[in-house]
Amino acid sequence: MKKFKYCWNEDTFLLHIQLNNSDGADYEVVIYREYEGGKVKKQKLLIDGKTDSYRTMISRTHPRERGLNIEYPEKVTLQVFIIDDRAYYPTETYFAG
Amino acid sequence: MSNMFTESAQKYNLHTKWNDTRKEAYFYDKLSDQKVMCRLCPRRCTIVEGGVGFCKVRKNIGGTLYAQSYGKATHVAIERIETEALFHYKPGSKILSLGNFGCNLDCDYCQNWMYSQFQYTSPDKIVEYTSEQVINMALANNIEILSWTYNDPAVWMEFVLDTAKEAKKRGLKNLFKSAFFLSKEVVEELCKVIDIFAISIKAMDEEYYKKFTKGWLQPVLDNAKLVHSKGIHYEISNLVVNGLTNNNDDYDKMINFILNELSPEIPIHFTRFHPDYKYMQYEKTPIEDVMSARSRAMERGLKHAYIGNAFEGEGLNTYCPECKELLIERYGLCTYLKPSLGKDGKCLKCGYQTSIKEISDADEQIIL
Repeated sequence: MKKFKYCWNEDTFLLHIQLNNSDGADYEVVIYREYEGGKVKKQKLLIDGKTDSYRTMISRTHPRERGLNIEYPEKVTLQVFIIDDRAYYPTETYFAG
Repeated sequence: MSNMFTESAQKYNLHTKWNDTRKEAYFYDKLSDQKVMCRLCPRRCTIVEGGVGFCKVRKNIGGTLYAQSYGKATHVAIERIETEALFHYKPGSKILSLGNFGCNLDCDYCQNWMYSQFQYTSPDKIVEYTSEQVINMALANNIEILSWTYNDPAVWMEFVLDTAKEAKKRGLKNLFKSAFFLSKEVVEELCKVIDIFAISIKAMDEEYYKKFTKGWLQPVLDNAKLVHSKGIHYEISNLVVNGLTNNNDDYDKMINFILNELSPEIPIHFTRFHPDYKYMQYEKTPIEDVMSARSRAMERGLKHAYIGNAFEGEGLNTYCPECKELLIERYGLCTYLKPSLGKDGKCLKCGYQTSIKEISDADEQIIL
């Protein structure tokens, strides 16, 4: 599995993530949200294999949420975009891998 | 992330290269000498053969006006309804946000200018979809709302109307987020297929509109009143631009319009600007300014006023206008429905009926 880690900061509480995969098989992505005090909450995204490209917004959920780790299959390419305005659709990637 | 405009910004000028005749435009008249007059918006562009309107996506080919952007999108993403400055309709719900290119305005601080100003849109950002594909994408992801947004969907009108009509048959709702610089007849057609409107009013000043958006104000206000008269759910957002509209005079004009011409129950969102495009000389709007606008609105009688582009604070939350009980708590674009909010939108503490509609269990609530 590949991993992406991000720590929220004063200016950033929104990301777009885009997942690209073209082999047609369904796959799962797990988002671990890390909170103060060591608590971790797990969220799963189940991506339909028929979708080559899946893009969704991720918001920081609470002031105690410090950051997140995204785990995704090796065959998948993840692109991460930082959003500083909810009506903005960024095309410049912060991370791709 | 600011994208400052420079004179050397790459121009693709697709509007001069495309001659797509697959979709004849709605809302136009044929004139003599193969000219046409577009009726989509108050500009009423008269377009010569081979030319385009102000928006650059409606083209006269052989004396017929064609919608060049029909079935073509640049932005598709799964988001939350709060992204669209909508807090009182199905809070916390997922939406499929769709954006295209071109615009019938040219706002100096546009953050999506590389799409709204079509001459700068790269062809490799454009993907074709049918209405059926858009609807199926929503259904496959358990999404009930299509959101027509990003650059103004005003200039995507034919695709919006056609898809919205089909989407309704399949049980989906449609949300239209726009600056509402449209002709009245178009708004009447929209009201037949759109369930939720997010109306962006840039300022309450004609000179401002002309100088900073290249449009004009009165049609926007008339359209807001028209939507109000139909009883369709809508909320208003106002981008508070540092150096331009972050002052009490501007806040008061907006508040007066809502109080006197619409209703004190209509939610208003005062949203922070950030520097972009041709308006780079100011910093992001201070949060104190939008909080001040919000406080002023509430003091003067608006029941619900919010701030936008902030992560936390009371300006994001919904309180009962009567007893001030916290009904909905928000961080960023995450929504937490409180036990004090009834499924029918009533405050369970005092019985006040709020304007919040379609309340259901929000997806993936995080309880700490």
